[in-house]
Amino acid sequence: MTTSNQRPEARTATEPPAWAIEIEGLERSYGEVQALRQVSLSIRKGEFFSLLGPSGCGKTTLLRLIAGLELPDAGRLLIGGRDALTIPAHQRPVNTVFQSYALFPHLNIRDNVAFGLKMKKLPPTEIKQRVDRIMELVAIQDLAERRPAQISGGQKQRVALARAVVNEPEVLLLDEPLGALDLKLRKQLQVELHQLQRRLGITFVHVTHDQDEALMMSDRIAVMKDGRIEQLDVGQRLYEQPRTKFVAQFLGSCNLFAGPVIQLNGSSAIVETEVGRLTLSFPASVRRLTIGQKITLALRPENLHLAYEAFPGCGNVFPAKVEAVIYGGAETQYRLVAGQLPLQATVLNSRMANQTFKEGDEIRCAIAEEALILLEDE
Amino acid sequence: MRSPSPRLSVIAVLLYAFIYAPILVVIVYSFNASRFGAGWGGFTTRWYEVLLENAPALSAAKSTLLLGIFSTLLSTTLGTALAFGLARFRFPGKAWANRLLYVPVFIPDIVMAVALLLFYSLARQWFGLFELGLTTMILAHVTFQIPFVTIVVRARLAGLDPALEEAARDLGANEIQTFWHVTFPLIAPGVIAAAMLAFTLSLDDFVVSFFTSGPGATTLPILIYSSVKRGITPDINALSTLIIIVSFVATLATTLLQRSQKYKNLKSER
Repeated sequence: MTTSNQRPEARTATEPPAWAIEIEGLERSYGEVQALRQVSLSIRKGEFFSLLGPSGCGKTTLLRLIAGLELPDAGRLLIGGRDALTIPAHQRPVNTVFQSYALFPHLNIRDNVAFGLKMKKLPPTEIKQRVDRIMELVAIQDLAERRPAQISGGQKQRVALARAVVNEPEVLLLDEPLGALDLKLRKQLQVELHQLQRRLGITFVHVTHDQDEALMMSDRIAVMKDGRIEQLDVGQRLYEQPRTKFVAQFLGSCNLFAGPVIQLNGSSAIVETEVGRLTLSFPASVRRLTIGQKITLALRPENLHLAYEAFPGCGNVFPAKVEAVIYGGAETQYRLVAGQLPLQATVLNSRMANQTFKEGDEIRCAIAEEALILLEDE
Repeated sequence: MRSPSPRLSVIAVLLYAFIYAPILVVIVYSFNASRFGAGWGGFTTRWYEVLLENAPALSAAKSTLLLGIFSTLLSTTLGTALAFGLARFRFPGKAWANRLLYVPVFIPDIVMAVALLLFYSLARQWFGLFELGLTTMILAHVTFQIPFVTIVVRARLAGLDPALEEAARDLGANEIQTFWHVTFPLIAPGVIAAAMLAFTLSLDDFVVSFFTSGPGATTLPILIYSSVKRGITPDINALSTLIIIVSFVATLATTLLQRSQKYKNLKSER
């Protein structure tokens, strides 16, 4: 805080608001179905923000509300600090890349890209200039005269992107933009999309059900479930410190242990789980635990260490049996069973790796105290 | 697809013969040189020449065309607007609006004709409006054309991806711009097909025209009807042949338009 003491007048009201989008208590129902329940969140200017969740979690509804294609039942929505709910869709400073691309089939690619600027009745020379520049930026200049029916899925995706960003919106909304593409193309476009966002500096709000995509591209991610935001954070924190079982399981895979707390010792606790006593260390700020309280712990598969012999000087050790070995190139996945509890472990296949294990092997597992994640009750 | 068995093929051919034989007879007899009776007096195109000098026939042809063109323009505009409303908006009574749309399609022409005649005579009595003539005929035709237009255009609208109109709005087009720049170009083939259908219906109509026509507004079907009362003459056959040709061309154009559109859709789905 020393810097702010040195410059007390920094960040005054003259500065433009730092938020591209502010949402407060947004609600939307379709008949009996509540698509959004009391959603509140703020998205920073220039941020690559992802809404992540399974189908039906409300992420697309939220995007459509921001676009103005639907109206909420209750709540507030500010875009660039201005109340957006009174502004109709065609006047909001946002543009959308639709899941189906929604390219106009009766117009060629150039006219598709120019559509927004023509609707705004900009001078033809300016339209031409901006369209040319953006088409070159996403490398579709050779397609100018073609119809949407005559280009590939990946090309359509670029055209849809160009058609939206040519309008220089304050916020670009992307509804599963890569969902219809095959894996290889998707990986390539993920990188391109990320670079494009950095270059343009436009705020991106991106809807996806693909956790890898969200982790790779986003500055921050809101994980959604049943119309609510389950957790909102940067990708690394979501992965390393998921708050709930849902988030832990939706972002990557995890092992779960459950049982009562039997001993408390400052910032560590001993829990009686299915695999025996596990010691857990947690920051004191996190949560108060009481003796006898039943808690759930999560563990990422890469943090489950395997060995034939005992681990010297490590507390959380228990025996397990190898049920299946799944070789995946860079890594190997092991399906284990400890007592009755099925577990999974991921081991990196580097040259430095010490051991590999075979099906049926009786082995020992070890967990570092810090690797165990304390989950909230659901 | 399999090929049909010989027996099935024979039945199919007979069926088509049954449908087209009377029409063929009319066409053949329009080239018959003999003036009366069923005998064949040799080939001639004389009756077509006679027709060109027949002033009542020419005037009826003009009325028929005017009636067809104006009623089609009106019904296509109104029917398209109705289809748009039914396809795009939710409002109380929409289910009934949809059901009532089909009623004029099922009501017998004669009932429709009598109803219109009654309506016009009442309107004339009370307001002094709707003096029978070409205008009343146009309005009458519009009433039975609208449902057909709406049904065809609505089908086309239903097949349109709603995301396209949303994309237009998202890109800054207001409702009117969205309609003219996106919706209309995409449903245009359906609108043209509907117009062709409406025109054909108007061209072929006898019952409604007969009841709602006034003095000096005779159409070809009415002219043919009144001539036939005095016996079928070869020039009537010639006139009928011409009407058949116009109807056939309009129907063919409609089918071709719809097919080319289907083909385009297939291509864009690929």
